[in-house]
Amino acid sequence: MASRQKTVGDAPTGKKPWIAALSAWLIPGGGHLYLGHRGRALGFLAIFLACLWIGCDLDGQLATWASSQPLSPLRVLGLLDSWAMGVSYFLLTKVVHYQGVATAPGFEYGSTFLVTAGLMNVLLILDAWDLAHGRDRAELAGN
Amino acid sequence: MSHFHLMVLYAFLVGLFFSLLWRRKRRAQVKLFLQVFLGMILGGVLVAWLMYPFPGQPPAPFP
Repeated sequence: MASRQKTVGDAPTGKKPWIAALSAWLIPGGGHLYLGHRGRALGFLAIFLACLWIGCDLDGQLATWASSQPLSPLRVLGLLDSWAMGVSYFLLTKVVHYQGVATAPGFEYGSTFLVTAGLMNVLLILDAWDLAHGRDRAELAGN
Repeated sequence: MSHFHLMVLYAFLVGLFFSLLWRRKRRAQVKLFLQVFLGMILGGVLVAWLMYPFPGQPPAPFP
């Protein structure tokens, strides 16, 4: 029996990609929840919150906007990473007024966890966008 | 928590994340998780030993 080679292509899902991406940005896992992948959405949210919790517990740095500080390329990347957290960033900075402690023993580790949380959400936004277009690459690759 | 425990925790969360993101079948998810998890831990230990001949501080003087 000849096997049919799967190719990547768009299959309409009936869902709006911009809503999926926006939901994913605002709440990690939100895009996947919108698209109907409830289990994975909850898993992603739990992992994101775990990284956030550990990062804050270790007093890691969360890049924030301060007009007095010069904008270097690394700082811009840090800001984009923090903003990628969506509502979490707003809650941490405006509601909780979280600030890292540079002299804390776990500062570097905490910063690593916080940066990772932001980067994870960037991947979730891109994945939600792809899924909304019907491009489930893992499924098509037989994984 | 020690450095090693934090590294294990980090590897666990990253492995879990990518296995959920890039795999659909349970067997494939477990396989990818183990690859990422063990790769990060063993890689970290390997890099630590590679840095061993180059300490950050001068050695303690003889008494």
